[in-house]
Amino acid sequence: MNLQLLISGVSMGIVYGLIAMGMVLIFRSVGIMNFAQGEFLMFGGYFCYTYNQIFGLPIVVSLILASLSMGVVGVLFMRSSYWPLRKAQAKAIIVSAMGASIAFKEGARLIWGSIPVSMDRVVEGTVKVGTASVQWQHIAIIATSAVIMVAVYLLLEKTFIGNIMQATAQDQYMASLTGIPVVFSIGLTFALSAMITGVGGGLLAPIFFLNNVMGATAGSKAFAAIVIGGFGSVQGAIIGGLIVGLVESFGGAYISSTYQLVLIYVVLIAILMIRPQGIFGEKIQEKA
Amino acid sequence: MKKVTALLMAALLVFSLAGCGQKEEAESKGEEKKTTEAAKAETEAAREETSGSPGESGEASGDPIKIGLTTVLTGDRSLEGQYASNAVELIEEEINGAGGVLGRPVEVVIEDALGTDVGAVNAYRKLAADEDIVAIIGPDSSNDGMAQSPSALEFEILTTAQGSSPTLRDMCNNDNEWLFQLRACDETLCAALIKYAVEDMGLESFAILHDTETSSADQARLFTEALAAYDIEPEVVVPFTTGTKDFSSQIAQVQNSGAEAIIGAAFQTEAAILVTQIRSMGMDVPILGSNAFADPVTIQLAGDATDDVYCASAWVPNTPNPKGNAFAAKYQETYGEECGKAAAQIYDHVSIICEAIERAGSTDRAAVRDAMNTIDSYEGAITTYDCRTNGDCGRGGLLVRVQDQKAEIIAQITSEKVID
Amino acid sequence: MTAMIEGFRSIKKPFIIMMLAVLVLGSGLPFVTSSYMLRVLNIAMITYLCVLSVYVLLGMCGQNSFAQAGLWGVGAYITANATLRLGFGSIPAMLAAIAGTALFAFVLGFAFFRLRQYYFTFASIGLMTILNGLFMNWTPVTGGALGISDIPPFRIFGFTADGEIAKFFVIFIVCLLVNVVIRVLFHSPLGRSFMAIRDNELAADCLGVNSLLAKSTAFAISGALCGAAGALYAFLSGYLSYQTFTYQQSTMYLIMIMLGGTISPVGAIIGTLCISLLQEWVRPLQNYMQFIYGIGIMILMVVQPEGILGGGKTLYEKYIKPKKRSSEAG
Repeated sequence: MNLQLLISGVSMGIVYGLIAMGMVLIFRSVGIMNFAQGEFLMFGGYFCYTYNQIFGLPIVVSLILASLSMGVVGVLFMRSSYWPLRKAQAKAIIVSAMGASIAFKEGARLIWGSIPVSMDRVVEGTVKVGTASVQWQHIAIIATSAVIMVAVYLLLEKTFIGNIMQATAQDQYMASLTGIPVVFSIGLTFALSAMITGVGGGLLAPIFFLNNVMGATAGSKAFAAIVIGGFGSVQGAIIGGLIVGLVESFGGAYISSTYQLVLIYVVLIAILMIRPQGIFGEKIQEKA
Repeated sequence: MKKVTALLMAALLVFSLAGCGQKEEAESKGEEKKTTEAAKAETEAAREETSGSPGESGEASGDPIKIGLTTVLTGDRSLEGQYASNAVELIEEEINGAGGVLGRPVEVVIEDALGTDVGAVNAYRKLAADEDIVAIIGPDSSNDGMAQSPSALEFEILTTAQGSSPTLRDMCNNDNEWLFQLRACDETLCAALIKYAVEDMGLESFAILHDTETSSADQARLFTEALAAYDIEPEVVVPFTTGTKDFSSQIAQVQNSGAEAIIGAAFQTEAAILVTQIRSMGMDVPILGSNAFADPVTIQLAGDATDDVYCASAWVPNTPNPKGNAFAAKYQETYGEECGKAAAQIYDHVSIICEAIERAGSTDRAAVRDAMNTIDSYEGAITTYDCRTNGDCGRGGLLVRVQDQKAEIIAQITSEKVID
Repeated sequence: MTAMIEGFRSIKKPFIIMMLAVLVLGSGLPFVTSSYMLRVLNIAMITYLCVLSVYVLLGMCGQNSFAQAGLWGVGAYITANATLRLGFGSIPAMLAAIAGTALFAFVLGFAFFRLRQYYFTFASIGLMTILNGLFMNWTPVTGGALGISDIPPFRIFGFTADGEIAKFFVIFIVCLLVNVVIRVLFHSPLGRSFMAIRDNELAADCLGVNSLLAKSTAFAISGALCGAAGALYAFLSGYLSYQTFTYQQSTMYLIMIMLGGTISPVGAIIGTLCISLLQEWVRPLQNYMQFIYGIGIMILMVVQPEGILGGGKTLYEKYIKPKKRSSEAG
């Protein structure tokens, strides 16, 4: 039983980490928690469903197309709900993202209906590991996540575009003075974040099943992952995701399956009390 | 200065409120006052929206008889609203094509219950305040039915609840004469499924996996009670919350308990994920499930994993009931998807209310309510209805087994109405 | 004591006139609206109390909490348990709800306000989720997912507020009283210490404000407001279930206060009325209602990032004030 719990905890943890990573990118860039990230997941899933089930394309092609479409959605989202408010207080941006989140959910319902749907998996079947079993799709998700994480790391640290994005994240005003097109740089960050989360949605749809409220629970667990792992750090998001996944599976089995979600948040509050900046985070500086 | 402005604004707001309130009043008084042009145009528009083509109804004429429907069109539980609004279109067409009720066409007015208590009550009161509305159908949830109950007493209007909880049944029977539970209470179905599992399948040990939302938690309790009648105690009862996507820790506990069969209670999405994960973890025990486990949506999502799922269901689209079968076929033809339980339920609710109006011979709210109690064996699309007492009006359901992604009917469940 | 007196001194003529005007105008309302609109108003007034609680925390003290709907629920469930299980009368039950929720918030405040700004907000989201989990699953106290029904309506001196109009007046009076309290708070030293923390916590600390105590007090006051709202909701609806006290509801409060404007309690009134009525007005859109509503929130925020009140103030300062000045000078 423990082996099974460990395996499913880790595989779900990677899923949460992947969504959390998308949130972290935006947070690093503009200092705002994106309250519509769960909806990116759902939209990505639906795009993938459209390409795969309605147009009949192979799943891998659909995933790539869905990811590109999500890039566009990310830019549109940035232009409509973040950019006009970039100079306003953070709370205004949060509220407009909440409005966007409602509109996303209801828009998806109007387009694709409220009957939950499913689609092809990248790999069918399950694999046995000793007494435990794990679905191949989960292994595919772990592999994809690893590739994405490395790619994001390389992009941010080793390329010129990455440097532009990092510079904008640190100080928008200074970046604009050095001639960096800030709107381009931030747009790219939102697009990247939406693409990552969108791929996640496409990969998760066959095991979670798609409906317009799919993003809510996954989004809330990803949020917990970020807070636990530490704000603004990509590796923190992954470690946080793993902790959330493990707390969920072991806590559900040994403490209480009714209060699985409650347990995660108890851990979140406990970690905040002990180490407010999270495991990997740097303390957010207070202005004096 | 600032204070004067604030005062002015407050006054403005209050007046605008009073203004819109007056408009409501005008709408609600309907026939008494002459309706204003605006209100009339509004109802016209609403009629066109809901009934599609009022001109074609042919035989039925005159002012429409209005029935209210509160259902969840938007938000988390919008699945039921999609079925309900589709079903409303079909049944309006059917009734009005056949001459309507009392020679007048029927119009179902839909309000969104939003999936919250406050939303359900607001939608309800908006409908109830309109004096043209004869009866109101509640949302597909016992919580909403219970939230609407005090308003039903206040407005004295026939209300049919779609929830199946025994608590709601007792409320209908004892506390609120205006509220009817037009559905088979879960008690009947759960007991029938357990009887089949123990007596016919010879199963002896069970594990229960259930959602903690209202109806599933209730069903889990009823399953446990039904098992107790055979002196069986479930090996393990594992709850989970709505929205859970990974059931490994729950299923691992069931696996450890070594039960011969799993009893599940959940809604469609959770049921589909649960069944898929039980099978992918290598358990091929029979699964006994609540309503949603044999639902077309669940079967479509989970595919082959639903083999060997047994279910005491209120409704499957291939029901032997002639009325139900015809409706399911028509639904499939019109909307290109299988007819879900929520759609069939709305069909039955509307037809029974129409039957009550026919029997009352008028659209007087009190007369219609009294006529409701005279209906003792109405053949609906789902089952036979007996409304001599308000609770537990539906008389039965179907015992089904899912094989090759098809729900095969094993037996029909019927129960006698208990009247004391 | 002197602090209280100082706060009460702030109740000057214009405020009294305004309150009286609202009293008179408000009292007329139930007789011109339909019973449906009256329920919408009743719910809006209860929501207003919760939004005011957000105002105390966010507008005065600068702390953003997402746990307000949870505190609302705590108040409601305390009322239900006190009346049904312990046989309390309406007033004692309501006082118990207010005191209980305030105490609950105060104690938690001491733990949570060791965290600053963002981190407090995160912890409050955690608290909200935990509370909702408890409402849904703690069957002995909250009735589990099925909830608690048959809560008796508000009763005082043999008078039972069971009609919608009577309920309206009970809620309306409580709202007016709360308004006076908030006014006193706004002008009291305590209120000023909240605002000092909002503007600059470090500086406030240096000036000798015990920021932890002050913030916990603010949280307790907001808890008391939510507790009162919870009690009123329990009396109004007679039925409680976990579906009502959700994280979404908390986000709604933030949306309302942000749309109204955080600079004064009037913003809470405007925001609550706008959103509550907007929700009912978009009903004829049926399927599209929530979609349009979401878009509406986004557009309003983008057009008016300071809220309706803040936007109005800016306009006033930009166009009307300079003219007045120049005319005075001239």
